[in-house]
Amino acid sequence: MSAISQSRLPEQATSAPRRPAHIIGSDAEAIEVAQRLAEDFAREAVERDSERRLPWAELERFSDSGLWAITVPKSHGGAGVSYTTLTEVVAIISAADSSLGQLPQNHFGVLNNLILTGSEEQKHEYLAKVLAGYRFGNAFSEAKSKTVTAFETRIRFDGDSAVIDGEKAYCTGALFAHIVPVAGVDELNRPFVAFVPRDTAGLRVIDNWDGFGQRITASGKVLLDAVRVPGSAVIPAWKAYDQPTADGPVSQIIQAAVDTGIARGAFAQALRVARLARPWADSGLDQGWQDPLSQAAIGDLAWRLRAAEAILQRSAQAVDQALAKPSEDSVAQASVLVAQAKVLSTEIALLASTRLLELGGTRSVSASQGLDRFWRNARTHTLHDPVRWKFHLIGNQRLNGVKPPRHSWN
Amino acid sequence: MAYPTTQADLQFARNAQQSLVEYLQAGPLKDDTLAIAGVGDLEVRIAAAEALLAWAERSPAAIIEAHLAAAEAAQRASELHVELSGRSLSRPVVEGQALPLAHLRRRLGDHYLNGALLD
Repeated sequence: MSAISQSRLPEQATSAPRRPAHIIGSDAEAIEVAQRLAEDFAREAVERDSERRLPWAELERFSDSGLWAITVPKSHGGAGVSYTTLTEVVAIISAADSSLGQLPQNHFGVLNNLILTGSEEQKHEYLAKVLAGYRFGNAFSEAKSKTVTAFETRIRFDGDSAVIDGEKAYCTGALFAHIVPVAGVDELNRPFVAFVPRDTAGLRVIDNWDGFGQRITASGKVLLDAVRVPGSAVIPAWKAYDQPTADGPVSQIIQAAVDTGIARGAFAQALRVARLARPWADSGLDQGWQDPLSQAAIGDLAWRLRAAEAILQRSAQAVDQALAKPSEDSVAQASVLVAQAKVLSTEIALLASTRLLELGGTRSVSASQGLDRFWRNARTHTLHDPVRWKFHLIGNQRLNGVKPPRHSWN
Repeated sequence: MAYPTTQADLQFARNAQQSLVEYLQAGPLKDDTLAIAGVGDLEVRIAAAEALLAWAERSPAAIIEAHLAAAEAAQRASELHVELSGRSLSRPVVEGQALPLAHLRRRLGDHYLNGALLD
């Protein structure tokens, strides 16, 4: 953790990619690239977590691979992959290192908002940048507003430009971004998003994130002091919620994909440690892997993980349908199914990461193994928004026919 | 092919949910935050079972996974019905009952842990 003033950018930070990114051409290629990168990212995941080593080099490889551009529509030169593919990509990376899986979360979210609310000129400009390897961070959430959907950051239009003032929190990706999208409200309290280049005067990214999980996401603060950008760099994000669009479900489903990935990673480690565990003294068994109680615990994890994966896939299909044909009904359906995915992925991520340690026994808590990272990461990331209100969202639709409120947390 | 009890459990859960929803809609609990969340919880269990049942043809493991999910949905439905309405519903007895759930979980775990074959 360090306080980094924008007047002195970290040497790795740039406002443009160092080289053009590879352009991925298909869903299948996206999955193949993700699997290859996940093997790479898994190698030093424990060290990065324990040393809180920021993943500058890994992110370069990640965005160079073209994976950060896979949702750019085919009409703009991208692969336009389905959300089934995107969520699988995020889950694959998150199983290896969930901080790396989380880092493009808001990038994909704002990319979708750009597609939904940007002008053709804005889409042309920024989608081309994403294809070239630009990484968007985020400066959306605020810690001091009344609720997560309220913003105190102001955006004031001044001739051909816009001026932004405010303070943001939990800004995952901002430190590593080439462009920091910033949410602020105008005098009518309508949220806009401004694309602020990383080296803009008045933009300060402060890496004060000290969460015990998702340690290397650098999800710290962003301060905006009279930040000025051209009006052409501002999109009317509020329009994505003024009418039914899948912007909220898109934002949420990526969260569920990260948590599903954590669960997969924890389950794989649970199998590994259970195979190595000693038999319990009273069991009469020769090997720990023969233990019927351990086997039953693993079977319980297995079906719950599979259920989370199945619902994640169904919800991704619903998101694709809502994007293709947005309506009150299709967006509500996507929101409800994504909420189901959020519930199940939260539950299995926490359960698998706890049982992993139980099945491995005391030897599994050796800090050198870093197996606690799965629980720390699951606990931290699943706090993004309270899953208890997902039950309410789902139940209110079923019981009272009330469609979910439209915002980026639903 | 899925166990006969899988479909029966899932149907029981759906029926119990419908009965509960009708009961709640007729009274003041329809606007109660806790009751609404309870219905949402059950909806998730039913959706999970339906999704896994759709995958059940994929493998012997998938058949067990669907069965365990349906059993949980039925159990949750039964408990929630009692909790919110004060009335219990009886689960139907189905011919060809599968192994006890604990044994199915163990067999599934043995499969993933040790590569044990499932028939």
